[in-house]
Amino acid sequence: MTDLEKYIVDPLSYISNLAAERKNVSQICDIFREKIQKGLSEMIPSLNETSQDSLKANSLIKYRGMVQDMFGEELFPEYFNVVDSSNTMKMKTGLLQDIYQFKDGERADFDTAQMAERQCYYFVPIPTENSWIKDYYKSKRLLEQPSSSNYDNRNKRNLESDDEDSNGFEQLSQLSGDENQFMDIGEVTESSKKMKTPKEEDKKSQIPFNLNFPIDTEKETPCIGVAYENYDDIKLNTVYEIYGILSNHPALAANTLNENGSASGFETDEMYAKSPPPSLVPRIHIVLIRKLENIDPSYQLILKESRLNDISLKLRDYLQQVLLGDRIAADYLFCYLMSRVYARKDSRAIGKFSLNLTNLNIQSQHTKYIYTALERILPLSLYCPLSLENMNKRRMTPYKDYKSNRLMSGSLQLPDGTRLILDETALQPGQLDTIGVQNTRSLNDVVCWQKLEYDFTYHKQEFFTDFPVLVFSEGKSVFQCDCRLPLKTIINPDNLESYYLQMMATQESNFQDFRNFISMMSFRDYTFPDDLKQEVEQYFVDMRKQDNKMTADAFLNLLLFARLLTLSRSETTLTADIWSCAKALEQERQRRIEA
Amino acid sequence: MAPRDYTEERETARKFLAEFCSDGDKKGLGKNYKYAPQLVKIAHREQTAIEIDIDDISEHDPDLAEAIGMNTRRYVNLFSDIISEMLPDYKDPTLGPVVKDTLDVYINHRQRLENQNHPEQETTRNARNRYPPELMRRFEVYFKATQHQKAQAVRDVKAESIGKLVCVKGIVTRSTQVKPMMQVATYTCDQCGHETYQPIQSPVFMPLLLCPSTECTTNKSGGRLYLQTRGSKFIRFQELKIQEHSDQVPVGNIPRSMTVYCRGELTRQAQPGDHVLVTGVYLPMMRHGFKQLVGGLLSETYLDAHRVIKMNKTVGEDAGVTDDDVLKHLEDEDFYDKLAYSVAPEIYGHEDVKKALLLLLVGGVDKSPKGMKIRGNINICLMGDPGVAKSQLLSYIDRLAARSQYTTGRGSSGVGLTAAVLKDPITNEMTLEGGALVLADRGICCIDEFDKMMDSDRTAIHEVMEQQTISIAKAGIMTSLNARVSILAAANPAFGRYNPKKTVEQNIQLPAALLSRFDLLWLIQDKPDRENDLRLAQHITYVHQHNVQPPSQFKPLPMNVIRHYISMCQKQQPIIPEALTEYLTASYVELRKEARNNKNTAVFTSARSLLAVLRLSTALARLRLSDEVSKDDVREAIRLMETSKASLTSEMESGRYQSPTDMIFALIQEMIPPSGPRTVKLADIIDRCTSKGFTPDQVEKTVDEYEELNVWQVNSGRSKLTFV
Repeated sequence: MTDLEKYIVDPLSYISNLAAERKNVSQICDIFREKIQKGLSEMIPSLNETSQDSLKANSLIKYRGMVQDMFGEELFPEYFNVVDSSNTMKMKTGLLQDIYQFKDGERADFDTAQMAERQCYYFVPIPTENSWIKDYYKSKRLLEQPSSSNYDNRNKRNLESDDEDSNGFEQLSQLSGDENQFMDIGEVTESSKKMKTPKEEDKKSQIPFNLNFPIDTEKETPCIGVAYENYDDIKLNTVYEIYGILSNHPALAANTLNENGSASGFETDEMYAKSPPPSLVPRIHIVLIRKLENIDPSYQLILKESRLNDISLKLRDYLQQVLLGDRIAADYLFCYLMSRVYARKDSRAIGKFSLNLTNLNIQSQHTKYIYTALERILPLSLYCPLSLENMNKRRMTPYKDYKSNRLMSGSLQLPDGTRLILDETALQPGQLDTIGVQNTRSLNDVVCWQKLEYDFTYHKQEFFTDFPVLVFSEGKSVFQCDCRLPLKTIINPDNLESYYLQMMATQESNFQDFRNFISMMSFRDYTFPDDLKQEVEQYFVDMRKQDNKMTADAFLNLLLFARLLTLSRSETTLTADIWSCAKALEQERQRRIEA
Repeated sequence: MAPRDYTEERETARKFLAEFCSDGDKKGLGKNYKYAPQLVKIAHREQTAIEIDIDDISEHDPDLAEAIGMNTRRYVNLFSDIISEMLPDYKDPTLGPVVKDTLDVYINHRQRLENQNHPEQETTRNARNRYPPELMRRFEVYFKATQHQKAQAVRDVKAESIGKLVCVKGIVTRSTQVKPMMQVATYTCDQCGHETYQPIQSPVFMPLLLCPSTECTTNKSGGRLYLQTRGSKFIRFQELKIQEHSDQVPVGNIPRSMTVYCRGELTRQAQPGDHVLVTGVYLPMMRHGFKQLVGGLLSETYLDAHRVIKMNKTVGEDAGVTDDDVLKHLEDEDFYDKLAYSVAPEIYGHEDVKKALLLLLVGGVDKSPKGMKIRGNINICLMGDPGVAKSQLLSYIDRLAARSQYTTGRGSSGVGLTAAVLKDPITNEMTLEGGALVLADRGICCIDEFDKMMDSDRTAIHEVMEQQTISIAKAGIMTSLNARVSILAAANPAFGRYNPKKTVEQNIQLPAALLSRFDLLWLIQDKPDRENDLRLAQHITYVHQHNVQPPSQFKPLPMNVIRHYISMCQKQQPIIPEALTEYLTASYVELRKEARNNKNTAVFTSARSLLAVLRLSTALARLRLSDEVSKDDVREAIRLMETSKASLTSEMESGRYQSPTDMIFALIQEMIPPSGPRTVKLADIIDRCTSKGFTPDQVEKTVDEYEELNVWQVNSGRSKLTFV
């Protein structure tokens, strides 16, 4: 086993060595960080793609996910002394691990322990991550495996030996359990019995643990990330890639604990919620955490500048085909794809561009096909048919459940950049119940202000969002969108399904370019040249004179539209041409609305 | 650090408790002992909790005070021991014997029994069998943290605070029921009959099984112990969960929470939803049983409460703001403008409206000469076309004000705006329930959709707005409730849009009597205006271009700073100096005159207007933190009134559009002397017109135009104008 591989398979031995030298957490993490950055990262298995059974406990793994909840801090002994039967004292560390495995006759002396705190975060797999990203990671994993088959074999062998190890440990713990002097309270025998049969866990956990996914259909594993430093950089609803040590000893589950009776009131509920069975929610002790700036894994800056214009034209064509030949709508849709909130001023989110495409046929299921076509080029998107059933079903905004002290997730707890596509054509007349009304209000908050108010019972707390919204509707949407455009289709295929299948098949080869283009251009810096400033301001003043419709908001939207149009044309500076083009498009849109 | 000498500290503490005093009271009767009388009360079971202020200790012995803050738990025990030792000396025989309860009887009984069994000495009993001090103790010792210790947020309490006294503020999110918790367990042996005691510190304990008495251990009789419920001592126990305030949470985080253990007197102090300030010792939770084995490496923490105080909303949120924070802004030159700008900064423009709202928040000074009550609260009504951010302004003020109610004219509950008499379904008693106006007493009542108010409320609101009370004579209940509120109303015009050709009363369909009770009436309109539009366009393009505020712009003050400043202002009671009265009367007379001359004024000018000016100017003086109204204050008050009137009238003129020429002609016509030759000097005309905002060019043009029409003649020197 090479040195590097040992870092992956048995990081704890390194840690205890380093701790013996009294290195602190950040020094230890630095060493790992350096190794990871030096190419170890490719070799580290990921919890997203690999099932937990094939990962070795206490090995180094990686994970990409979104912070869904913050469990707060816990106290742990950073250094403590262990006294063995011969009364010799050894210093051990509690860093980056949960369980210390006592050897025969050993006992810990916690009175002299040096306590420190660490923060726990609940990570869920990135909600609304589109399947092509998942496929990308999977295929990458498959590509890597043959090259490291050597490692895989070893991994397997390790698993076996690991089994033996853990068996051994159980026996040991049973022994030490009886003799452990700290266990002067409670039913000693029962607890060690329980430890011997961790498989009972399934039977005991009769209440299924709520994994708290924002999107119900999620299948990947969530995890609890334990951070030792830089807590302030970890934010809710942000997507991170974490590297850390897997800790999934069955004894961590709370349901084995609470039978021993933590007598005090609400501790039990909370304990259960915060220490789920590790088979469902493993813990990861983080050595490296970094924000995933771009969800698109294939995103490379090396997309050649010279090709940008070409791709822009192709993408426009594609969108035109998606919208059955409506060129103007394609321009607007393109702008929508470019939009993101780039600044906040007071309560206003600048850069949000909620688009409302109207005139869509209810029966034809056209909206669904449009979504499937968009899904292929967007990294994160959520299709949300606004049927009464959907609206009344579940709270979309997260709320705090004080019983378990958790933030209960809602389908709008999503990472920034998720495209929210609301399909109003699914809406039928009927009754909205309380949840439905709340959900409507939440959706409206997102459409108008790009914010959500999480319910903390005693107060509401505002969280800013960045979910560009696209609404499909037959008439004007119930939400106040920034921009409404009636669709005028030109092509009328007899069979929509075959049309879309065929169209997407022909475009397949371009998708990668489209994805990169969207990821790249929407984050480009944009400049508004000073020489156009005068003209633009004058236009506003003139329009104000002409009619009352031109409000400050409308003007802001026009400026934004010009910005997005510039980006969609793969430019970064507004030109007079684009400005007049934007004005012309807006006028055409007005005409369509009035028509 | 050298180990502390606890025996010495015992002496210090004893001395402190016995001798600490503040300086003599008013009568000069020497010293005011602070703790000694409390000890007497404790000795007589009239008081259970004794709260020791660390500030007092630091006066006595700063070193000890610091030590207590660092290792509080230990000193609680130390002080408890000392107090128990001292108590017998503090019994006052004149007060009669102490009332005994069951536990006393029990202990007495035991002591008597023991004296019979072992008359010689206590030495036969081993240490374990002695009465633990907790059993005998009937008081609780709490420490009060020093004034200098700032309340922390939950997230700031870190591992290094373990064992120390910390202050944490937050909102109670959960509380358990109050349960008895065993403090001392008492056992009896089935063999020798001895009693054994076990003091308990943790929530879970391991019962003793074997009798430790000398009799049993020497005889090896293996006596079993049985728990005695009656002989054990229990204490009230409650667990609370507190969560951070929303403003303590950094962006992108969710509030953290903390467990608080309350014992004895501290239970039932707070309920879920209360804002509290908890002082206590931060401790790790003792692990027990299996969990200790596995975990070992983790531990949860709790706060052992020493003091739980309920706070109201504003104190909690503004605790971090000090007077200095606010005063440093005061030095800025245009503080008044900045403050006004900081009111609802997300709404562009409307500076004067915002200034008025600021004055409403501060309020004028109440006066009650000879039993007559003159309100100081300022009432404002905002009118305007739909969609001009009236409601946003209202809800902003609602959020900003320390005490406020937001409601609509229609009112959501049956109680409505004023008050209702309700029948209690269970007891059949009649009860009074206050509506929004009563609930907002001493605060601000924001009423949206004022025009859609119910008739019953409308009549009541007359009284509220001038007398500041609500009288009720319903179902046999006759009473008068205080409603010292400032009313901020928003009204929509009755015809969808404000019709400038009609009067205000017609436009919002409210009687003049009610409207005159508003100190200021604003009409907010979104009118195209070249200059403003350009400014707006520049603003928007700048923000768009650079993603930031234009640099010259001032950053709005945070809400809590404004709130703090307003509360500071409200402490001021400015008076109107003698010298100003003349100026005030003169301006009032001027106002009346103008109102008489100007037939088309929308608002009625009455004695109420004078009061309004007074209120506004006192509020302005308060805003400067001054105790005297200055001339500038009066001038600004009148200006605000004028602009508010102008906002109502200006629209009328533009209703029938007048060219500058027409307006200048009207001006010139006014200048014709009532008697004598109908001539006007041209220089006077230009003077007058320029002061009204016209250019000399326009005047020239008018003069020429009307000369051609033969309305007047201009003399050859172009100095005089004579009407034909």
